[in-house]
Amino acid sequence: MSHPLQDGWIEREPFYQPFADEVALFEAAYARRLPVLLKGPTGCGKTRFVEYMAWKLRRPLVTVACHEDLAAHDLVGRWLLDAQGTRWQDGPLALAARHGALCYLDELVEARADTTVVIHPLTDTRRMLPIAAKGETVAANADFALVVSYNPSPAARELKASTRQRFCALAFDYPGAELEAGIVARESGLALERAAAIVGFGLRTRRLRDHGLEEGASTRLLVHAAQLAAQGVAAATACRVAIVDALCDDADLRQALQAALDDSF
Amino acid sequence: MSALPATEPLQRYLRVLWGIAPEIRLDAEVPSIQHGVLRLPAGGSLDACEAWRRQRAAAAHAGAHRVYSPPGFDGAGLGPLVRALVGVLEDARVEALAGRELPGLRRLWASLHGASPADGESVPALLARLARALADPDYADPHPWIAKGRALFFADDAGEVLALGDPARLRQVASRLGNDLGQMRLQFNAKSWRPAPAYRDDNAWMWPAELAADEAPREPPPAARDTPAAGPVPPQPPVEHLPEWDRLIGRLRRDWVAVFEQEAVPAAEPLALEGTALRQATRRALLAGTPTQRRGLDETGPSFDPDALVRVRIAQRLRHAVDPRVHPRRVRPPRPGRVLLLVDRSASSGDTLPGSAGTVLDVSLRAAALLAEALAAHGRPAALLAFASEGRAALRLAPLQRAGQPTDAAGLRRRLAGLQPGGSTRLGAVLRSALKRLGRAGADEAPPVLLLIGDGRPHDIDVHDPRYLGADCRHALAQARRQGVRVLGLIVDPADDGSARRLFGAGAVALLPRLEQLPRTMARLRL
Repeated sequence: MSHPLQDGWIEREPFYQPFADEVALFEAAYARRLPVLLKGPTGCGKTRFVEYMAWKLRRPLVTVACHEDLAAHDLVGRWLLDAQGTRWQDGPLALAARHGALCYLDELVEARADTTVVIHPLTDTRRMLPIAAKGETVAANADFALVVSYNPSPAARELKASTRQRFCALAFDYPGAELEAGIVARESGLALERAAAIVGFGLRTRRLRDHGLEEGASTRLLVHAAQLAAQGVAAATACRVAIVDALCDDADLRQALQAALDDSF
Repeated sequence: MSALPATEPLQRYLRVLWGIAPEIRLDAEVPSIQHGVLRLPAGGSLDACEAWRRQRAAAAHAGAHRVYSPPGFDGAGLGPLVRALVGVLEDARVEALAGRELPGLRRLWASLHGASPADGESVPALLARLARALADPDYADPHPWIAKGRALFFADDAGEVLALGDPARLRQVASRLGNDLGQMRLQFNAKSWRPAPAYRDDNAWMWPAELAADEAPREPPPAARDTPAAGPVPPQPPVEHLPEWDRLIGRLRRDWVAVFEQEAVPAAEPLALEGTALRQATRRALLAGTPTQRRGLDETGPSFDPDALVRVRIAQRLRHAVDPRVHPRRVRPPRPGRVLLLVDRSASSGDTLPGSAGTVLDVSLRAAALLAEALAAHGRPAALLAFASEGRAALRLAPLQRAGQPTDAAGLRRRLAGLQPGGSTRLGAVLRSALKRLGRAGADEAPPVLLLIGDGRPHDIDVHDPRYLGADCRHALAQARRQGVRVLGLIVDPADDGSARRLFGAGAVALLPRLEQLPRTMARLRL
């Protein structure tokens, strides 16, 4: 019988460019099975980092993108009805805990309050997952580890202190300009010099953070622009489509960004 | 593009380019930088795109000075012509540096140069031609003086490498070029000259010693400086223009009503509120509107409904089709809708309410305070807006409590107590402005509510057709329905003749003859 998390194994090394000692720190935390909180702006490489670490640690990865309708039972599991009667189906968190995967809860604060509480017994010395609906308590596999991410911003919800104080936190930010140009060039296949020009414009948009924009262009958006440019779209047009128009709808803000874009190329 | 002289896009533009945010005013005839304030000409008769292009060029040029220029130059011993030349060379130097970083700026600036040999060989023409030769690599000028200036400015023929790195070297080159002009016996009038093209600032900031000497006598005495703060508040521009429905032509008149927003002046004493019994009854009355939960079954869920499972088993035994809905439905009641309370403070609200000592405004304000308090207690903070109009030229809105801001009950009651009756009731415009503020409901949110507190009779001084404002109000109400906003009326009217009921619809209106009846009235309105 195949492994229940067969789809979670990452075969090929994902491209990840370390910016500090985050890889070593994550390895140290994993060695002691400490839960890790990744915080940082959108599109700065948190998810890619988890994929890379899952590959490096040779563990399957279970990713759940949290949203405001995500309830505890969506993580733990549910009863289903089939021809023979009723049947229990483990949710992603229960699967990861049983079979020793890295479980990555992306944007945990977006989920409903009961979701954050269900991870509590898994993130302290108990390392167990009570499944009330089934009357079972799952002891976490020795290889299981929990990773959650969250994007702290004035508009975002706060993580409760009782949840927050269970994690080691790794703070992420956009990499330095040189490093980011290298990442964008590598991800898009665009020449380094052209990627650097796109990154230059992206860095400027970040100056509008809290001055009209909630966030400036993320590394992900810069990669999108570079990918369009690598497809033969003019760099300025690629930046308009992938960055300016993607970032905002406000006419005044677009006017300022478009003018700066015209000046940048 | 915005019709108002908005400096916001220019400010954001400079922030994106260099992370700087100087104060910008669009009130000058020629661009200038004074004490860090960037003063630019307003667009004037130019079309919006062209005005933006020029303002952008001027703002970017001034921004380049801020980023690449020293704070000032030493003008000691320099004649006016050499100073003008230092200015031209410094302008070209900062533009070249900015153009390296932002190649598009070089194109923008070059496109605004118009000097050519056809302009002649006066000093201003030669200075403008030199400025162009230094800014535009495609411009070729046959004049040997300009060729010399270019050769001294750039270290290479292609015009990529600057030869002038520091201010001392700039002075040297300017002196040499000025000397050449002197040899040509050309006249220069420093008073009438100003840097070309027009987007460049007057460079007065370059000579801080002279600027300080010029400005010293003009400094107003401290007493005179203090007076404006004590005097009347300068008139603010309208925050928006709203359309209005004209029933005779059967269409919306665009930008017809000017809306002004002014902060409410708090009174020294907060509005006195009634006893706790009325406050508690009002809180309870608001709960009457809470939607009840629906029961039902779903195809997915964390637990089973035993009855449904039994029905499934029976159906399976009978070989009937099975209803897969066996999980109790997860019911999340929608979050209660946002509330905006609109208080009518027009002159008619000064009328006395029969059977009570207070005026319509007194009762309206107390009702508003009680409701705001009760809503906040239910975790549903309301925004509060008082309104009165003076014709279509001025609809005055006073935000007493803004949406999303922390509730300050004592401050709110002081602001409410500070309101005085005056003006008219341009109800349609008030509703439109309020609808803009409320927006649409979120995905899991009940419809937003607009609650009008007052006599609900549209009236204004510049409208003589008795049906005009009513028709406009109905049009605004239809817009509210389309936007999914509930508009309710809490009518405080000494001479109620049912007009508010006809305007808003009978179910959306409740009459408040006395404040004590607020709980019963609100239970009927179901906020």
